[in-house]
Amino acid sequence: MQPSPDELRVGLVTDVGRIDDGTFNQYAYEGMARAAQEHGLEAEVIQTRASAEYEGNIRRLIEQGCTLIVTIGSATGPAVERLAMRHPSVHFIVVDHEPLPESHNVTGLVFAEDQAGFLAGALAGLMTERGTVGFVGGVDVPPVRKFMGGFEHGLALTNRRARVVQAYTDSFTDPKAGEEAAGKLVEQGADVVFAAAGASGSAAIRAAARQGVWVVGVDQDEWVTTFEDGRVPGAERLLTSAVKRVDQAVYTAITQAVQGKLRGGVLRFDLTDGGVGLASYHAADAAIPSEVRGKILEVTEGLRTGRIRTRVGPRGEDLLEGFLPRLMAWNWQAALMPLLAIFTALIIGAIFIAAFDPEVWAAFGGGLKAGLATAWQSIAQAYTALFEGSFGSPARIIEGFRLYFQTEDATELLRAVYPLTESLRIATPYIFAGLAVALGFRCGLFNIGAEGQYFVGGLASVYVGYSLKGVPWFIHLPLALGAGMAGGAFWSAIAGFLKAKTGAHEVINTIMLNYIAYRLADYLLQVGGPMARPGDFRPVSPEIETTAYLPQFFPNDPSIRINAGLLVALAAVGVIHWLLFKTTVGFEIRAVGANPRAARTAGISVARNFILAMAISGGLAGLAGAHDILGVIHFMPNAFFSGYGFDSIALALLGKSHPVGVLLAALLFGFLRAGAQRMQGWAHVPIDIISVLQGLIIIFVAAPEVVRLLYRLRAPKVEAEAIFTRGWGRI
Amino acid sequence: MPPVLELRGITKAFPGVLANDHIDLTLEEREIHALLGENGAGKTTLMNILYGLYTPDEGEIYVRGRKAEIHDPNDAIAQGIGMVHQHFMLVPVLTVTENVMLGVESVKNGIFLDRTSAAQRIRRISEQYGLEVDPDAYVKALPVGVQQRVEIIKLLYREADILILDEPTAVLTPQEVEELFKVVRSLVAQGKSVIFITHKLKEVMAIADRITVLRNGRVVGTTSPAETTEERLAAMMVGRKVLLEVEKGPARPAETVLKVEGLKVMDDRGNLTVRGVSFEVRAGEVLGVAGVQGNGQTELVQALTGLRPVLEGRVHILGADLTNAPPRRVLERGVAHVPEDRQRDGLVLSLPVADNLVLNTYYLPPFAQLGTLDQETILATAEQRVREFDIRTPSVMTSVSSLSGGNQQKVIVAREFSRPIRLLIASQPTRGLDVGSIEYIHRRIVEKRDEGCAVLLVSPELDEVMGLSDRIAVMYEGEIVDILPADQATKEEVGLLMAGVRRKEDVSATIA
Repeated sequence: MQPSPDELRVGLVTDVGRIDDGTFNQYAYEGMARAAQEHGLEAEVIQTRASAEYEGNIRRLIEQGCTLIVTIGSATGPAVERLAMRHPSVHFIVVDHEPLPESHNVTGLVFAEDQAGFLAGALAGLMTERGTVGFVGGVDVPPVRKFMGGFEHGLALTNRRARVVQAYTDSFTDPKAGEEAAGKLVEQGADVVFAAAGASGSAAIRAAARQGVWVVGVDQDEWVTTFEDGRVPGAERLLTSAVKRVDQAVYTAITQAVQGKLRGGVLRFDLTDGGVGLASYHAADAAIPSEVRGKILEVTEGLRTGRIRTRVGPRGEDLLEGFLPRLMAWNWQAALMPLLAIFTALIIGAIFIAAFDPEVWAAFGGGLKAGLATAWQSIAQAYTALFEGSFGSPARIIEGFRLYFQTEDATELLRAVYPLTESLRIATPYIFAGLAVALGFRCGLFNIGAEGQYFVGGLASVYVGYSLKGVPWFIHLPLALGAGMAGGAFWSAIAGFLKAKTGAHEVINTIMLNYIAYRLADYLLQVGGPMARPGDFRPVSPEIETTAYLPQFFPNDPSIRINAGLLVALAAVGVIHWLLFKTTVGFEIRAVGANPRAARTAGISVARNFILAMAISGGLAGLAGAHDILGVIHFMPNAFFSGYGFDSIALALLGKSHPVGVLLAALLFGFLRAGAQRMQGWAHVPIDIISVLQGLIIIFVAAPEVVRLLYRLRAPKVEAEAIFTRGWGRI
Repeated sequence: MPPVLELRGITKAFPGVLANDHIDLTLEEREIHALLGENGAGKTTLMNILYGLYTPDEGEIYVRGRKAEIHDPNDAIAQGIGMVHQHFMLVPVLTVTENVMLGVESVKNGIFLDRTSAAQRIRRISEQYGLEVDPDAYVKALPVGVQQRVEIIKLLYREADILILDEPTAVLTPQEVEELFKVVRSLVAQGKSVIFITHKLKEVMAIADRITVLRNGRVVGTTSPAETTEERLAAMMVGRKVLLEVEKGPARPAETVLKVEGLKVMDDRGNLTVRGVSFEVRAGEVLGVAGVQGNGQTELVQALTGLRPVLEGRVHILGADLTNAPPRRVLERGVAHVPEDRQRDGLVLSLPVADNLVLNTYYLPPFAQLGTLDQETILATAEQRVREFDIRTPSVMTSVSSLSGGNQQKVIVAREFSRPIRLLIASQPTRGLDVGSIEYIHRRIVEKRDEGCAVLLVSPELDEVMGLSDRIAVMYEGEIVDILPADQATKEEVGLLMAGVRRKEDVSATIA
């Protein structure tokens, strides 16, 4: 809470040193004095003699009734943070400090020292003759680092060959150390010396100037302070000063407080608001060539508009620019890991392809070189086939477009994109099934029975599909889809119910329910069975009515089997995402999944969520079945195409149980599966290699340490805990 | 003579934390050297380095003036260094002798275990140091205090003479603590040297010869009980002045909020662990339940909050019979529950702070409308709570798992205290927390009491119960053996009741 403006009483605690030190402290004091005078505020000042006194001094001001306290220097930050917590009615303004996020009554004044340093560096680069410039730093704190970082980068901009020699005084108040540092730098050949070291630095540039090298001051215009308006010998060697308008910043902050506008957090000052910059050239003006002055103006403008960046971070660290470093700052590893897993799997797959190709073996008989060449050929052929089998041949697609635009005949184009449509068609049930398992994982359930639920969903949808007759499609199709969903949901809810009520593990129960589902299908579809096609000698169901068909995208070309099921699947991704992250139902599912005990303690019914999550999961698996019936085969054979049970687990793992992740994983699997057929046909690589690839991908995703080891990646600091499933019994 | 043990510049970094930062420590012969620090100060890391469980990044260890290379616990034992871990490393189904022999079995005729001679040696050790224990007893049948003795005997059996005791008093009753102190003193008197790790100031003052305080992985200073006070030690540990005593005015009890009658509850294994407990808590008072852990307090609290079925008896909250009501109904009646194990029962660690702050209110307006979460309100409220309760977190979207224990507890407190509550059931609210956080949580509990909330405080920390409660109920083996007014209860009296000395006369007799 901020004190109301009319009861403001301002206090100032200096950094170690006096308020007439000619730098930093004096500047801040002047800013405060000006604000106090203008706004008619009472002001107290305490000058700090040693860093141990900060806390005591600030406390004294609080006791004296100060409600707005200015402290100088990042070293006062910790003391302020401690006291700020205990005195919420006092507001603190700290020069050179980034407040903790929770400190609502601390305002830090932060300057773009890097910009001022950058300009100083640019100027130094243009003025140096020997190609060596010196930097005197005080204490290794962020503002000094920012001056230094900017100085270096600015120098590099105007003078690529120049180098920086540096010295630290380890104190802002040790003139002797400053003089020594300056001496050392000049000895090392520096002919421009920039010092950012408080009083030590002022002494340093005075000493350096006397030795006849160019110097650059800091914080204030040192022409006025250090060189006493040019009266001190050597003043003509002062090029300029990298100014940091502490006075203006303190004034601005106090004024904001008076206006009741000061908030906790950071106030930043840079070139655009005149918070930092270069002072005038004074006596050196004549010695600075006009093109140098022009260049400095240009750089200033560049920095102001953002065209030039100092490449110095908020704590004085070097920032790498460009795409790659920004990518690294992002949580790239989470996205990179699955890609690396896929890449690694493809490489190992390549080895397999080569190793099991008899031609390769034969070629190695003719020498290593021939062998390797043949191996390369074999691999390239296989993967080209895989690619063309899943996306289609680019050349053919272009040709298809050309023909289409010329003759408006889409036949060739459709044939060319056939592989792509087939990949998407195969991916569709994968999306449903992957979502099913992922949703279970989110609730801490391992639904290993997607296969059985797929069967039951298929049975239910085919029944509705053939038994209802004479209803319009917009009723029949949703009913059939709904039946598939309901069938799957019912089947899995049995396992959910048993888990919730008895603690029986869902892994065992869903596996067992799979077998029951197979045999149920056998029974229902057997010749003469309740759902058998009358008069057929095969155990198949009747054909469904066309009103229950999932409409195909290209009805004129029935061989292109892609259908509206894909849209339903995409919608399911959206719905599940919404359900999981935007609704109370999803909140409960996620809470139960991550910690059922805590969820229960918080009043969430764990049993209800187990049943519900299991039912939704099964419903999704049922939709996979419904898609294959209503969209692809249009009847139900008892040896129903499948394999979704285990693939769906892989998909959920690969997609990290996130709906969008599952979608991407399902597309990948769809493409691999579709491509595999062509790979087999064209490159004579067994289709099973795709299973091997899928297996490898899963291994690498599930064991990220292996991938990290392979690519020398460091483990992220906090690995998000992925909870997939729990053990036996009730929680 | 060189010190028995000297650590020089030990440094160990884990990803993101410098657990030990150039730590120097010397242990003189026959010294009890207390290592004091908050959780996460680096005490355990340092000792694990000494015991060979971690390899330091930098620094050296000298044993009796000679540089020692300690790469695993076997090296440590060879150097005469032994450690009693906070959680005992005993096999419950084996006897004391078998446990002690484990790993250094003596054998006769080449293959047979020589239990007899081992047992003899154990008897000799236990006599020598006053470590009373029956070598033939099964460990599972022994009280915790005695199990700890077995651990110490294990070290002496291996001829360790530098003993590291990691939080040895955490599981003991006050009487057992006294016993342990006697043993430690006798060990030192007979030439052993002891490093005593703890975060309890009173114990340090009572037993240590010298005290080294760690904070944020660094040595803050070394002192001795004669030169310092508890307040100063606390300030060293936390880095600022700390209020050790809870400041509170007299209670103004009003109407009865919680009424428990003849409650009987079973634990998971079907043992009757709450055996007919009756008590009342009134608005504006704190009823503290004292007792050594495992005397039915856990089950009692679970039964009151609907988490465990009540076998017999009734629970009334604000006049309503809530016996065996589901947890949500209990919560909605105005009950706040701070569970004893915050990570297991109180928080969903992988979810962000914001979600944990609404873990039991997410379904109510303004956080949800028609089953849809109002994420904006949830986040805004979280920001507010974070400020109000001073939860130190990078953001409200940070998962709770990356917060410190104290801040995790603050998340629970913020959640529970921000609802309109009439009854606060706080189970071990400061378990494992540092001095600063304890101070904070205690203050908040007293505030709630003064607002007219009924408070049931369950804690095995006697100091906590004595400091916060207006009345103290002592639980022993599933029964409340007595309820005392806090201003009349003495620590000795409560301690004895906790240990099962039942009748008032017995208590006074023992004290006399």
